[in-house]
Amino acid sequence: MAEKIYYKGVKRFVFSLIFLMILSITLFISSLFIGSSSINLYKIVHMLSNIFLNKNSLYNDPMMNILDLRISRGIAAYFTGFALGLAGLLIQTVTRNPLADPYILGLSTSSLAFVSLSILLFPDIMIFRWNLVLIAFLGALTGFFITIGLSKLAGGSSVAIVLSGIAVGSFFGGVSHLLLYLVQARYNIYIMYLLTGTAQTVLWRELPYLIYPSIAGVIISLLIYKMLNAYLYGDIYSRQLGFPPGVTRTISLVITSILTAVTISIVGIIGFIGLASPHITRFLVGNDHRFTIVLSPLVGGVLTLFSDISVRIISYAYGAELPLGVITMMIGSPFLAFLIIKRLRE
Amino acid sequence: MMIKIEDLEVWYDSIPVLRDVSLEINRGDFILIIGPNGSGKTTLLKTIANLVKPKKGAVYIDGRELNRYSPRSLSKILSYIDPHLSREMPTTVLELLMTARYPREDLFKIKVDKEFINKINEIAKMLRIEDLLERRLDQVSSGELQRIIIARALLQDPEIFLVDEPTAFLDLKYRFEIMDLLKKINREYMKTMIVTTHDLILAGLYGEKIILLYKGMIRAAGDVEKVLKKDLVKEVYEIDVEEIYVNNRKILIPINMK
Amino acid sequence: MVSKTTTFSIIMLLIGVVIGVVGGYFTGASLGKGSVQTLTMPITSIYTSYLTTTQIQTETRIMTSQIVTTVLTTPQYPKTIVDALGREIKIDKEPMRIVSTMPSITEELFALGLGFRIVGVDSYSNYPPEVINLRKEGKIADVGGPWTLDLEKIISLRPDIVFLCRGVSVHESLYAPKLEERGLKTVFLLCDSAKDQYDVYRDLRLIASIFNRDDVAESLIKTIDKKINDVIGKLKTQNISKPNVLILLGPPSWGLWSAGGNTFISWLITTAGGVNIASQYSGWPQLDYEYILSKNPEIIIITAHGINMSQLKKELEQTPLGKTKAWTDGKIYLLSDEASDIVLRPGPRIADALDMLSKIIHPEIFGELSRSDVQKILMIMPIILIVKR
Repeated sequence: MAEKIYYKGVKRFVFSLIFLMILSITLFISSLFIGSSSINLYKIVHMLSNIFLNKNSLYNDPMMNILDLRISRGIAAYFTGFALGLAGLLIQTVTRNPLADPYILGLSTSSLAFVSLSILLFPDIMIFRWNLVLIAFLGALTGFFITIGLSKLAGGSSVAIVLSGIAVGSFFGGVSHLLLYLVQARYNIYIMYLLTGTAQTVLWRELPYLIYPSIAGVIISLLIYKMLNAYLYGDIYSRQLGFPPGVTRTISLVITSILTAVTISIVGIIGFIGLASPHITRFLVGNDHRFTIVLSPLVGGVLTLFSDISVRIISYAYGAELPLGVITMMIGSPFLAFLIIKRLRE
Repeated sequence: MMIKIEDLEVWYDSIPVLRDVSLEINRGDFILIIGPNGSGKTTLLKTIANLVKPKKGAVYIDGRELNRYSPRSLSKILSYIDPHLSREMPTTVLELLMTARYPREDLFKIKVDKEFINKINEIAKMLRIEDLLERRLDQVSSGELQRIIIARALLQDPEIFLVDEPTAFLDLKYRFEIMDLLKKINREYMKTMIVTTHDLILAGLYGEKIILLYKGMIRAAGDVEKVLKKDLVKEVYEIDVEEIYVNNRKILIPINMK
Repeated sequence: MVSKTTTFSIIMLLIGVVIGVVGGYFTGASLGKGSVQTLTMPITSIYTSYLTTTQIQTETRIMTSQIVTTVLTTPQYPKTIVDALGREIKIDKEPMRIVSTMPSITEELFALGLGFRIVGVDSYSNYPPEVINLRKEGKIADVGGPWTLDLEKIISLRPDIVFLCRGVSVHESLYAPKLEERGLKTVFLLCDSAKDQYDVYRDLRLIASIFNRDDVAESLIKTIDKKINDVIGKLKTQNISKPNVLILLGPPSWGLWSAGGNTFISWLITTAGGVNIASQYSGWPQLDYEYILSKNPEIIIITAHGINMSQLKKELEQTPLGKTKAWTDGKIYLLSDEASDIVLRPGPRIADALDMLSKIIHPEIFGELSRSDVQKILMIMPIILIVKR
């Protein structure tokens, strides 16, 4: 009886994995055909090999340039979702709360506050993208460290982490608003782009910072899957099974914070993906982290890439580029409402 | 597996919870720890499980102090059965049972041995939970949950079982069922059982070695005859009882009627 | 007393982090340099690759001008210019395809006679009127709003040069790096960061120098400067009092956005003989009623598109602005459509802007302003109101 159930679970994992991988590839390929310029990609294979050999210059063929743009954009969108899918899974496990999302650690608003402050203080330095990305990243991590420090003072439990995150997040949220008011340049809406995210302007050189930490995160999480599984049932349970819960928390939170900070600084704040991907993954394969660690990033990647494709279609119709984070939230809110109602009903 | 507790003193913040606790537990013992709420029963169990650190004194297992054991090696020796398992995440019974193999397995092993799954079947049958395997943990009754967490401990297969108030929220029938089960495990598998309960009747029916805790100290320790005495119970529980004998077992009946 | 597995996990974590950072650094370094690149393709290849697009008309024009330029002008390329961000940019040869991302830039390009080279403009560009026609005919593409540019569109147009604006953070931090990564040349102009007429001249000269049309720029500047100096001169001769002027970018319900002392609108107001009550602020501050009332402006100028005067009047009546001297004297002006554009764009029409504002602020010297898109609030006497009903 048990074996039947268990192997059924394994089969579901394998099928889901294959399905998601095929879906990812299909979505990615179709994303190459979607964008504001209607172009004919009949020579796509030839063009693809050219692109990966030669990334610096402007190509003779305008279609090659557009293809290049779409590829870098698609990769950025996918791996943002990939990173957030894993970060969301880990934060939900660490806080034992299926409604948690990576931004409850307070890093989105602290990132915003730091960027606003530095634009206010050093406007001439902040026009360079690299500086902005760096400050956004450091700002996010600062918020994270303050949250963790505060939570340790409050006992270090998962509840303490959530409450500290809320406190820190609100504080920096207030600071950001104040700073935005002070910055006041009518046209300074970089902050808005940080708030709502875009995959369009991610540079090729920034992609490795999105990809490598995500993959490293998946590998490390898989290595500690037992600690994560045990952790779900409580600190006491985890400890008596041989896994000090503090270690599990530390490793997970480090991975979560780095991945989230990277996505915020390179792409911006993309809501909902960190919350929804683990949910959908659990719906597919249950709670065993062996399966969810592998699948949740894929779900996140698919969702985000799909949203980015929607952004391109809407922008084509509407005439102006809408931010990615807005679309993910719009798709997300009804889904979230559905989840909350379903959960409360039970 | 001998447990020796010497002059144990445990504090929560600035409140002493256990004082002057010394006792010895041998392999295969069936120990019942009784006492009113707040007397320190759960704390004693958690201290033995190294979940709580003592302020003074120590717990020794096989001559070695608890903090000389790594959490991992300790998990092979004892299991604390927590009645307040976190059920906030939507996990299933089977998923919980699957974690029981971790102490005995390599951390990085991903595959699950077929033998273990067979063992799950065996134990699930024994505890009558085979039909519950796919159920979510927050969708089982308290009686079922109790059997589930004991099943999990059986799968973990430690030498020492630390069972905290297993009969607290159960119907009468299930209370006996659980106690029978614990007795059986103790007898058939030679496992040391340390069980806390506040049910005096069960204490009489099942007790072999009983420890009465009162205000964090051992008020009495010994067999049923020695510990389940009218005057002791009156002092500790503040109720009047009658001692009666049923099937040669001493049972205490509360008679606090005016 | 840390267990083996704990140490192992932490070591793995650290290794992961190190790999991530080091790997990212090296891969990033090999992938894209992100520096400004110059175009190195021969002209002939441009022709052949573009004949496959639908913009053949444009190509005909470009080809013609191409020939003209090479015949008439002596080559001064490659040359290096310094743009508004202080970057040194090497121009290898005369740019033939231009993208403008701000309406003021479009106006400047046309004023310098470079309009026929434009292949893409932002969606708000509407002056000179040819722009609208060219856009309708598809000869000039729409590249999106100035703050929501469509990069794909811009790249597909294969411009030789893309003009962006300093002070527009999305241009600086989002669009320029990406466009440069694709090898497009970007040049930043001051645009709305202009503080006075000299900044506008700087932009005009910068554009002109890129195309070797410095002489065209100089004569244009001379014309504009003369008009401006005329106004300044007239004001100097008269001993006039300078009224407090409040400029609002949009009706009060959009927020009381005004222009700080370092903006060119503030310069316009000051040069036209007024005092900008928001001049102590910098940038585009949001004022509050208390502040406005304390300064008691005598003239209120509101720029907005798509608002009608009676609607505005009702709104103003209900706000504290109805307590200002401007209201009492009936000196509230609504600038819409083209009038609004002229005043808000620091471009070749700043002399016209100054003309408008000087007529609003000092009609006693310059005469009353009569434009259909500038409405002065009508303070109707109650009797007339009753009769009207």
